[in-house]
This record gives sequence, structure tokens and C-alpha cells, in this order.
Amino acid sequence: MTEQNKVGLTLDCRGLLCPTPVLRISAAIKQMEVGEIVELLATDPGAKNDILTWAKKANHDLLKIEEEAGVYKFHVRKAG
Amino acid sequence: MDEARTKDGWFKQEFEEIFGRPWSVVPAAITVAALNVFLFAFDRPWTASDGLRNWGDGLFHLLGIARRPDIISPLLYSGSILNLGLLLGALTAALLSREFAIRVAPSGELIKGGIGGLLMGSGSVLAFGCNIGGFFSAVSALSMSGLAMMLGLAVGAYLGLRYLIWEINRRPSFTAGPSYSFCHARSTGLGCQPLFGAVFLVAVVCLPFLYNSLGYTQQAAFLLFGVAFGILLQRSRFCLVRAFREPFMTGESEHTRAAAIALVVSIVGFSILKFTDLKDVKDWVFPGFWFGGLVGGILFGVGMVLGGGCGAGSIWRAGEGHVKLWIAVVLFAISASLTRLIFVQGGLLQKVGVPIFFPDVVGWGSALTLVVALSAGWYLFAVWNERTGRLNLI
Repeated sequence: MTEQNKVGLTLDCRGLLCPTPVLRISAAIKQMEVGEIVELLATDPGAKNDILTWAKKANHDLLKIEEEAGVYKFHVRKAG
Repeated sequence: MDEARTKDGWFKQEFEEIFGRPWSVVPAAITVAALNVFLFAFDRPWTASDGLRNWGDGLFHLLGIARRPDIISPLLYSGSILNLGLLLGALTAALLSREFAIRVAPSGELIKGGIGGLLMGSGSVLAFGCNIGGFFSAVSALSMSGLAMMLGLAVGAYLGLRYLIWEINRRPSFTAGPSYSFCHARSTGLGCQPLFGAVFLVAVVCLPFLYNSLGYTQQAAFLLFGVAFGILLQRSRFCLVRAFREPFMTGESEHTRAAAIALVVSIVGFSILKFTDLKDVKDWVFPGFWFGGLVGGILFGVGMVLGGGCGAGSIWRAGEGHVKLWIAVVLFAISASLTRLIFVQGGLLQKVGVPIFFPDVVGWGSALTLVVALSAGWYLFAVWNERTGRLNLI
């Protein structure tokens, strides 16, 4: 991972259901600087669409969605 | 060899098309509504709460806590079979789409699942149904109690969301803690989940034949309806909780629009059945207007947001493996059974409201126009809020 894409904060939302992952990332990103990246880990399949929709509506950049061993990993960069 | 590879490629491509990506929400919601009309024409509309209450009654009877000589076996009661079908359908769809896993949430979340289940169970008794039976099917049946519950659900969803936001900001440790996941799909390749899914698919197709061969043809049909609801909801993730909650949260309108369109489809279908005397006009018109519907709706609305699923949503997500929803389902069943027992024994059930069939008050034309206009207003409100973000809490 390049310096530019370095994760500033990781939110562990494994085991949490809708809407908690979205509420947590929304609250956390408000405390971050523009351009910083937050990583969110979730296990609810519904989180895929939830985070995608939230990032689009809040105008943040969803850089990555990965799935490994039942865990979805999202990287979101805070937009200005 | 090459031909076999091409065939494999073609099959996998088609499989991914159906089970590799979520289904569109609006068409799925319209199909759910159309199935609900067929279900009403066949026998009765859809609700999850009476089947859950039947499970609670059965449990208390089995434990000797409350003797219920009149109880119908959960394997034969229509509402219970619909729920079993929903659970099996969702489990099958989750396996086929490699989304099944036994997911154990942190303890605070499990507690919220339990509280959500308790609130939903008692709310469903007051409102004479869950958000499906007490609101969706009741409004479709032009029952004023359903309209009161709709208002209550909106208020409850708002209050529940305010609590969750407060908790995340002030008590973040409540949702922290260890969580566990078992039996999840492999990261690469199809893995064995689709194989198990195929086995379950064969089983859910064979089970109705078994019911039929034992002389329970009606139960066989209920099971098939339940399975169809389970597959549709798991694949599309269409959710009435989101329909009520999302306008206050991110403002995203898709599920609210889908619910409003589905409601119109269901209203038109139910009205045709009632207007042509194929069904009794008083069917699914409950004595919950206005107190029972409103207060039950508020309790249910808070519960479904805390629990992470409504009556049906809890069941299909339980089928997907969420332990939080297993707890919500069990406590929903217990709470509905106990609350109903208390209300019946205390003679309170007749005091929470009156049954009002909307056309009896304003006539068929005006009632239909007003209820369809209300659905259209709900749709337009969601679109307006999505564009303006006026009510967004986050």
C-alpha cells in the first residue's frame, strides 16, 4: 500500500448488523481530515450495499471492497 | 474437453448472474406484493407475527408453563409454516449465494437483539400484527388500524435510530467486543455452500409433496409461499425497516420507494378481491384503531431498529446465520405469546381500539384514492428527502 493510500483508522464492525456499520463509519469519518482513509471490517452481507450507498450519498470515495474468509473489507477516503 | 469447459463457463456465468449479485429491490418488492395478493386470494394475507406467537405458545405448552389445549401444531399452523418456509428459503438462497455464516455478534448487540424481539413481540399484539400483517397487509385490506400502525412505525423507527446514534457517540463500548464467524464461504471459487444450497433447494421442493401426500395440501402451498418470500427477500434484501428508517438516516430512498410501490400493488389486489366479494370486506380489519395500532407500531418500530430486522426480516436474516436475529426471533415469539395471554386474560384486547374498514367511512372510491395517494406521498417524500437531505440524522 502506498503512503497516499495509508489507512488512518480501522473500524471493526464484524458481527454487527445494519445499520450499525454505517452509523459507526459516518461518526468516525467526521473526526478525520480530508483525504484520510478509514478501513471498515464487516461480516454482514448487507454491509456491501449499505457502505456503497452511504459513501455515494456522502460523496466519499469508496476505494476498495474486498472479501476474505467471510469478512468484507472497505476502504473509504474522506472527501472535502 | 474444450466443450466441457465452455459448458462449465456458461453454467457458472448464469449461476453468478442469479446468486452472485443482489437482485433489484423494486421488482422484488412488487413480486412480494403480488404474492401477498395471491396468498390472500388463496386463504389469508402474509404476516410473520401470528406464526411466531404460535411458536411461543407451543414452547410454553411444551414446558408446561401455560396449558393450551387449543394450540395448533407449528408444523400445521399456516402462519408458522409460512415462517418455516421463509427461514428455509432464506437459508437456501444464502447458501447458494455463498452468504451463509454463523455470525455471533458482540454481547451488547445480542442484548439489543433480545430487547428488539421483546418490543416487537408485544407491539405486534397491540397492533394485531407485525409490520407485514399489522401494517402492510392491513393497509392493503383498507383497515384503519394499519394506517395507525404505519404512523407508529415511522415514529418508532425515528426513536430507535436516535438511540443508536446516541449509543455510538456516547457508549461505543456497547457494540465493541469479540465477535465470531463460523461456516463462512471460501474466499475463492464456489466452495461447498452452493452444493448444500442445492440440497436444501431439493428439500424445500420435496417438502410440499410430503405435506400433500399426508393430506395437508393447504399447508404444502403455505410452505411454498414462505420459501418464495425467503428467497426473494434474501436475494434482494428488500427491507421494510430500511423503508421506515432510511429517510431519517442517510436519506437513501430505494427501499421506501419500493415499499410504497409494493403497497399500491397490494392495495389494488386486495381491493379487487374484496370489492368483487371473493373475500369478505372485514377480512384483516383489526380492532386496533387507533391506540393499539399507533402504540403497537411505536413499540414495534423501536424494536425492529434495535433488533436489526422486523418480523419477517428477523426470520430471513436468522436463516442467513445471524445469531443476534436467532435471539430476536425467540424473544419475539415468547413476548408475543405472553403479551397476548395477558391481554386476553385481562380482557384488554378489545379495549385497544375499534375495527374500521376505511370504505365504510368515506366510500370505496375515496378510500382507495386516499390510501393510494398516501402511498404516492410516501414515495414522493422519500425522493424529496433524498434530494434535500432535510431529515438526515447522519
